[in-house]
Amino acid sequence: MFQTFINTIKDLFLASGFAAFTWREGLMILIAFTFLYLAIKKQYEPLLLLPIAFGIFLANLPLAGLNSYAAPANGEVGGLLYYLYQGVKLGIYPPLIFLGIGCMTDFGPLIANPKSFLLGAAAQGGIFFTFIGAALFGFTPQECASIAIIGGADGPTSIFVSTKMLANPDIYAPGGGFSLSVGIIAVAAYSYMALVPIIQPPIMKLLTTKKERSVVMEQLRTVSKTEKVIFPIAVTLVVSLLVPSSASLVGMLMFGNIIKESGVCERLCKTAQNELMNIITIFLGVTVGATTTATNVVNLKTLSVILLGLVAFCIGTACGVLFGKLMYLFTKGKVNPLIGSAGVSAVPMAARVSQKVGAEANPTNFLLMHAMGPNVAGVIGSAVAAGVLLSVIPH
Amino acid sequence: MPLSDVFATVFSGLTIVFIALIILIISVSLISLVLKKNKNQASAKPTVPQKQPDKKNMPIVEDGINDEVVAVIAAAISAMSSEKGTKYAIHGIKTVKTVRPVWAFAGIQENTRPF
Repeated sequence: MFQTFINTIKDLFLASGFAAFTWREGLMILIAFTFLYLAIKKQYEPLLLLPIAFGIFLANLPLAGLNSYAAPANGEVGGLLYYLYQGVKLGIYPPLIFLGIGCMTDFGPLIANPKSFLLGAAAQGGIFFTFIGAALFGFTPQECASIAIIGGADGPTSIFVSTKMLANPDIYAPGGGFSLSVGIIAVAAYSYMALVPIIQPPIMKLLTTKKERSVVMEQLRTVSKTEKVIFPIAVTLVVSLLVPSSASLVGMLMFGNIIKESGVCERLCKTAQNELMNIITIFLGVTVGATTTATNVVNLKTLSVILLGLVAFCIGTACGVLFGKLMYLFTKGKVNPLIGSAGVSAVPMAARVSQKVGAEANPTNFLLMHAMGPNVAGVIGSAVAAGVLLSVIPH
Repeated sequence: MPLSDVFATVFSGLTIVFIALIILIISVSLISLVLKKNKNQASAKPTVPQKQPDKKNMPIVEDGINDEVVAVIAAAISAMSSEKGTKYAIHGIKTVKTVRPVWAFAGIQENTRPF
């Protein structure tokens, strides 16, 4: 009887996670704890970073079957997070997040000053120039697109593109080897978005003079309700016809916006920006985090991804500010170049940074509403850029 | 991926993004212009002078009665007059002091009405 007891305990131990625990899982769990600390204590984008961090933690618990790739096999059903991840894999969750974002966005400053679209376009230079950098590092075109999209400073867009690009390892990682995960892309994107107030100001100050930073812009005109209702329809039509791959993102963004601006669907608007956003954020965050397992993270190439993501952000900011300087020259000093940095679509953080840096040069200057134009234009711009990458790169 | 393909992808990508957003600038500017023209035309038309309400026959509303309550009463009377085909005019609205609250009175009436 005693021998049976010992054998039972031994079998239980060998079947437990302790027996299957390796240093890789330990390292990933420590990384998850670090992100949990950043989310809770430092409050770096906690709404997404906390679910992502916990997803990383769950995915790296040995034998739990909680990673997003735990598909059904040998007659067994798939894991919980595998089924929830289908919303990411099938491109459902990111457009629904955009629906909520559309309900919360006021495109008034952009409609009042449509030239802000140009600043939103210029800031997408971060995406495309990083594409070159990633190619030089030896990544495949699909990996380059997934890394470059971090420069769009848009979490749902980054997840949308990288999920589609990295869905089939036979295409992007032929012969096996390093397999980039959506989780790394998402963690990089959201971490850098949280660090916008730290990353952007030095670049903005480096590329502008005090005189340029002190420019006071003319007050924006009032935008009528009719314009605000027609705007989402016009944008959906133009962008979807030009770049059909971005139709789901831009279409849902504008659907959310028209619900809000019409004024006749208040209940739908409230649900989309509260309950729906919260549910999708939970599912998206935890399942994206759960794609990050030891096999696809503990690798030197991961460091290159993190570095290139930072480069993408910096180049995006620089491109926006430089285009802002060009507009300053063409308009003979009417446009403050600082609003160009808001073209990265980290809404409304990037606009607040423009306001803060502008106020440091001229305390009487209020750039916030002027910067909101390029900021929301950047959301549309990054969705268009995502559509372009999805159309051009095979996946 | 050959560098030439990389540069081609980057150049075409940036071009398409700029073209898309320039088309949007033109569209939004045109929409704003058309709406502004329509608004100017509408304000340029001579307006028909609005009939001012006859202040002598305005109902006298007791102080302290909410505008919403006045609107509800007026709506109820309007519904009643369209049902019966009789026109009613409201001359005054005042609180009636009763021992029993009105809702309680209405409840009793409802419950004691002959079957």
